[in-house]
Amino acid sequence: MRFDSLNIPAFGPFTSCSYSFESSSHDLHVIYGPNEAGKSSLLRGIHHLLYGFPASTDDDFLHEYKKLRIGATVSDGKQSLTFLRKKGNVGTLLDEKQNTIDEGRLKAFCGSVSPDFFSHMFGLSTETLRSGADSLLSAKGELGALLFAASAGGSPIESAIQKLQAEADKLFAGNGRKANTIVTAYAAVKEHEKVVRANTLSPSDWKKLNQEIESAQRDFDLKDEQLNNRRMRQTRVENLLKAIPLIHDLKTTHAALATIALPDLPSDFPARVTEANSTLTNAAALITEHESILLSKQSRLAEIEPFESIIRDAPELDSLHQTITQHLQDLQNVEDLAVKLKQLQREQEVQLQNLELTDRVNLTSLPNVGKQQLLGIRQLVESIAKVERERDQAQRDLNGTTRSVDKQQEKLAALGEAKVNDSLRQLSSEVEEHNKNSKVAATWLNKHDDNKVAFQQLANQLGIADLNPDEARKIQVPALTVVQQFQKDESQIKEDLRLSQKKLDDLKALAVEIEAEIRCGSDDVAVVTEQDLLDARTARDEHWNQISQKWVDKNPVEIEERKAFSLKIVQSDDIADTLRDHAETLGKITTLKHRLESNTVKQKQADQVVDRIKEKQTIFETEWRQQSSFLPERHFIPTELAAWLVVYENWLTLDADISKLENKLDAHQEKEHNLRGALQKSLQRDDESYAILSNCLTNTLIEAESVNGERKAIRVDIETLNADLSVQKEALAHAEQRLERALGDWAESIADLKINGSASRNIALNQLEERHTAHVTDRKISECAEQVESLAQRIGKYTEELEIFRDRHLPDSPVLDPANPDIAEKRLAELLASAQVRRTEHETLRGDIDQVVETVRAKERAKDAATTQIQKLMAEAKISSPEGLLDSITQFENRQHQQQKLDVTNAALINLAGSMGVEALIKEADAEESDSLHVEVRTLTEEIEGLQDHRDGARDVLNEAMKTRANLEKATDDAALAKQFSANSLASVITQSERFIRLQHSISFLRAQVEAYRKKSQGPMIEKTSQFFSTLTNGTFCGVGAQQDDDDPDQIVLVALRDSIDDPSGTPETLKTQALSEGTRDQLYLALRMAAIDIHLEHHAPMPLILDDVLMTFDDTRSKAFFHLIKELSLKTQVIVFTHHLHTAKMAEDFLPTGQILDIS
Amino acid sequence: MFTFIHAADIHLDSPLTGLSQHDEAPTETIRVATRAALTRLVDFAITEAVDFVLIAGDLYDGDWKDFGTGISFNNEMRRLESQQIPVYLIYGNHDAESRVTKSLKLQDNVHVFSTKQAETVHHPTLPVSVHGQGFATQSVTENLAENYPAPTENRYNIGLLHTNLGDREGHGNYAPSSLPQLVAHGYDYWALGHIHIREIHHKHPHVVYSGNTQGRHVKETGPKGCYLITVDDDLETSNCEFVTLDSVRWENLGVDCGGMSTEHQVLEAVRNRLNAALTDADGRLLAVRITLTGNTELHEVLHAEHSRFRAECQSIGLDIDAELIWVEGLRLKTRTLINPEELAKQDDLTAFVLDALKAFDPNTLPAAVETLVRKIPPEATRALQSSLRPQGEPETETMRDEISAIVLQAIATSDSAE
Repeated sequence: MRFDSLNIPAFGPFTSCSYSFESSSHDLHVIYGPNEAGKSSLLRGIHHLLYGFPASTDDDFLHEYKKLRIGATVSDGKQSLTFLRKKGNVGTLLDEKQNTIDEGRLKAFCGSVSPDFFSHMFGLSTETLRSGADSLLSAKGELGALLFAASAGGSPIESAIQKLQAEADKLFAGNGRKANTIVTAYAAVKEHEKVVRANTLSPSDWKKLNQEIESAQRDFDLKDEQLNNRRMRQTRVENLLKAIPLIHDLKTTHAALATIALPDLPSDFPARVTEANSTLTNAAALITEHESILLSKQSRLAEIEPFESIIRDAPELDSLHQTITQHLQDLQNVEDLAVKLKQLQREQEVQLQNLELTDRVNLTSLPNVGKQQLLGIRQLVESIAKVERERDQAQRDLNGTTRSVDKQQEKLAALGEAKVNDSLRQLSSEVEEHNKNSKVAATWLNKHDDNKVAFQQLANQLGIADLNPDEARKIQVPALTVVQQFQKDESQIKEDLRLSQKKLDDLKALAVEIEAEIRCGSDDVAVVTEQDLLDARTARDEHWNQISQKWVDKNPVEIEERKAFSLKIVQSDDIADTLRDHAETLGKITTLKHRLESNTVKQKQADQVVDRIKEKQTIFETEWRQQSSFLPERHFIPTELAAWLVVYENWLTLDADISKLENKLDAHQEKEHNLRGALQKSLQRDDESYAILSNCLTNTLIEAESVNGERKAIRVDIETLNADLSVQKEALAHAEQRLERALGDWAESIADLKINGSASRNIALNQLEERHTAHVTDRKISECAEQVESLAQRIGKYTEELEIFRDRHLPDSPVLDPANPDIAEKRLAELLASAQVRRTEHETLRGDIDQVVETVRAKERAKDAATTQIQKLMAEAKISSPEGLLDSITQFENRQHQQQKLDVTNAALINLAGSMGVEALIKEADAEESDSLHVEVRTLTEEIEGLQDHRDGARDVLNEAMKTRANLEKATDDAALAKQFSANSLASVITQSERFIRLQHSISFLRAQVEAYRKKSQGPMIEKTSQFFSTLTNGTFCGVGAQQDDDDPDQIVLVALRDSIDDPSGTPETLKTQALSEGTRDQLYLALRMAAIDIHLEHHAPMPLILDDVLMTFDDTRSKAFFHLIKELSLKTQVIVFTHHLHTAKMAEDFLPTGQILDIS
Repeated sequence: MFTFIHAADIHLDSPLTGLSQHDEAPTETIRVATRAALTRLVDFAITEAVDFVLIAGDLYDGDWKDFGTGISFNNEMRRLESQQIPVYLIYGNHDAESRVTKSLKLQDNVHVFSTKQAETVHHPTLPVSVHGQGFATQSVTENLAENYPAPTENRYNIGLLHTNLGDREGHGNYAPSSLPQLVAHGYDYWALGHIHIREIHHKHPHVVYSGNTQGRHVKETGPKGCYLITVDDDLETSNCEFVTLDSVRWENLGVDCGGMSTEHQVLEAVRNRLNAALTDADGRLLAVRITLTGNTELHEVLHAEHSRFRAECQSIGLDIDAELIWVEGLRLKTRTLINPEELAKQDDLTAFVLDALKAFDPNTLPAAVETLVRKIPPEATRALQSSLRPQGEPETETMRDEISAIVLQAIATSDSAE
């Protein structure tokens, strides 16, 4: 495949670009473009073009994704394809009309070259060259890996192996004790197993511990019970001791309550009394205080100065205050306008002088020229100039064309007339027709010869070669359909016979099996049936009837007879037992027997069927012999004859075709003979060869056609020139008309504007512009005067108003100065502000006084209500004076206190009494002596202390045992968890090992392949690389070689070879790749890659090779060597070299036609 | 009418295998999984107030010596005893080797059948006779059922048997028996243990495997539990209802990657499949193996970066619910889209490698693998047999495919940038 052209509507930095790559013997092209010109984008684009855009691309910086397009025309020597590639997922290959086309059409050109292989093998860039050269060092020149990498398009196999090895090493690194995954996981398995062993609970430990716990529990329970009994008694005695004083208090409290005579009062009585007294006292105090405040405020109110007069004028004064700034600005503006007016008047004077006018009255008498009108006049002047130029050009064109017509007429007159008559033309067309037919006749002749060979072959095949053809044509053969029917019948008979025979054989085999099964069943069990049982029982019963009849008849029954009867009973029972015990077996045997009988019947039927088919076969063979004996000494079977008939039919068809072709060839020969005679006569030549005569006629006609062609061309030129002439005349006339119209418009315009008609158009235009300016200045003067008048009126009005208010509120101040009105205005504003402050103070005091009066009234109402409440409380306490209320409160609180005391004592006694009740407690306490109880308490305390120690000891023993059991239970949980962890770690070992095995297989396989590939390809690759490397280095190196590595004799390494300086014809010196310069390493790697590509092309279709700036480290001489080499390669496939160096592109000119060097900058 | 539970193969405190540990793994859930199944069984028996419980062998796991297992079992039996629910138990091959079996004194409500001869026990209140015999040793190869007593008349007869019915492949020839034999024996219900897949082999009389109560590895997928059997007043088995008891659900999820071309598509499909399986697991911990299938252009990268994809799948599981999903592993059964013959046309080198791959013999182990085999425990080596010594053409072909994918991807992706 090669690129005929690239077409890039929108991709990366390219917009609507196209480059074509002309085909020549050396298909080498150089594309020059400086950095950023888009070479790398183009390399990437070519990949996308062939294999589609990736899901994401950075090439959308200029054109948005959906508009990205790159196209090409590719060809392979037989066919070509023009297509576009767009961005997308499916249907991205388009034809020239942007219709989707099948990817297969492009794939036909790319063949089996995959996207990756194309990238690696056919797209070599600076980076890949550099990394490849580096691999010469990193792989230490290891040859197998290098050859492998070069043949894989630069993929360094060693790095692939290292990557796999790195992953494998992470999993397991052999015998070393490195902490890799599998070793770690297995260590974890062992660790967890250790935990399992340490924590496993044995039954004996568990049982022993449980016995200890039971014993400790019993001991604890006993001691705990004793302790509790002592404690209960101690509590009881202590309660009695506590109850004795409480009982005394109870009685005292009851006595105190009986002494209080106050009637029952609600619980809030004291609070209500206190509240009423408090309200009364507070109200009186507040009334006095507020009356004093009222007097103070009324006094301050009377002291405030009057403010009403100036407050009335406040709106007007505010208005003056707000406009004072504008008033001052107006004063300034009036001054500025006066200055401006004077300036405009001076400008007007100058303008009037330019217009040669004495005053502005003369100006106003002249017509004013508006801006638009002035523009129109200016365009008219330019238009007139343009039309004048067009008219001059039309005149020049007309003159030139007239001269050309004259020249062509002269050339026509100089040519002679050619002489070819019609009869010669007629003969030519006949010769031409015949020549065309001759090509067809040649194919007829070929076909005739082929048919003759086939005809003879078929005759041999049919066995009729020895017959006369006429006899062979007349053989009486049966129809093919008849033979085919025979064929079918024969197959059917054979198939029927086979199936019937098979069925018979199967039935016989089945019968043998059934018989064997019956024999097998019969060996185990006596074969009996239900009928046998019925018969035996009938015989037994009949015998019984006979015996019983004898008994009835009182005849003796002989012993033998009895035995015989017993035997019959046993026999029938045996049969019954057999039927019951072996029911299944017997049933099976019975079924088998039925099947055997059925089988015998079927065998007979099958036998009859076989006989019938054999009879049918005999009849068929007789009939067939009659049909198939048309050739002596030849016997056919149906299949053979059917095939023979098909061939015979072909033989007959061929025979007819041969006859037809012979007739056609004879007619053609005759026609050629006639034509030869006519040609000899017309051309007056004696040649016998029809071909020579035919060529002679053709040359005569061509010569005549050539002269006629030239005359025809000149006439066409003259016609074209004449047509141009009339167009040019029209153009001249049109230009003159337009000029005339424009000049008329000009004259009319200057007359309306009172401009001197004799002045030139430019002078007149200047005058009009000056007049326009003067009119504009005049209008500005008028506007300025109007503004001054308006401002003076506004200033006067403001001054007048200000003077009125100054006179009213500041009568003692001096009369207003119109130049400085702000002094008076400021004083008036201050006066107004002061009055407003006084007004606010006055209003505040009025509000305060009203509020105080209202407060005094409210307090008086509260005082009255409190007095009423006190009287009501006196009635409740049944007392006559307010002073008695305090005593009532004291009694009320005393009674409440006693009641609470009583409740507390009762509660304490209930608590101490517990379940026995308070009354029983009081009774028991009354019966006991306090001293003896104290003695008992002391005794109990001593006993409890002893028992407590014993009980605590027993509890500690029990707790310890329980703790041990809890620990054991926890340990058993730990053991189970460790067991699970162990299983999990084992799973890791297995999972990681599975992966490790696959990785190691892959590594081992790849290493073996590297070595195998080296052995296989070392010879040709080294030879080719040597050749290329020597060329690239201009003979500095004579090649490359393979030798054992000094450090590792098992390794074969690549070395560079250089002729010895001392003995150039002797053994070359070897240099390790590490000893080569950077540039030479690049050249060595390039030689290696090109060798791989060269070898690849020996067995595969061409594919364009693209080299992107690979000459970075090449000096000029080696760059030239590169072009020599690449030019040779371009004989085998298309090579496109990208470069950003101008001098490299220039250098390429020595090797290539300029058409093959593209500049995309 | 009465009801009973038929359970078997509880394998109490047996670890669940095949799950690689990771930081967020819910280990506690799987540690107690077999105990939890027993607890659920007892809960269910009490809730349903069943009349008795049958356990058809392999209560314990053979090599587990910890007495805590026995204590745990007794605790559960005590709960049944408190509800007056009798338990009938036979020992299976795993119990025979268990030390716990020999030393544990069981609760009074648990009847353990003799291992010397078949015996019959009559239910104290119901017309039910249970016949059974346990395993005396780990490998009982005689047909125990042959010597089981004849059925007791006018009672519902149950045969409790730990057996390999029909000599199933891969289950050891323990106490073999045949279906016709059991059907003909005259019992109403054969409660079988040993095979971990539940199956009703015959009805009237019923011959039933209840399967195990908790799946223990990825080959024991799907719901696990016991059967609740209902017997009507005519002593006919009227209903067999499966009751789920497992707390960890094992599943092998196939994800069809056919036609997928991006990793994202594959991982999303895995995510969707896991989500669906989690819903089906109904709140249980899902221990799951993911198997990718189908023809995909990702075949090579999946194999080459198997570890990464496995980690991605585990990460998805953690992302969905770290407490409820534990990815056991990732198996690749995808097929390549690359036609080797087409690929071989590309260049001589590829043709050379592909040709060599045809002759690749996975039985010839690299030295590093030989070293590995010497270093890992025997149980791991046993589990790795199909990788170390592929048997037959399918296993060899699978291995060859995997190596082929790794090798081709390694060549294709190793470039100078790395």
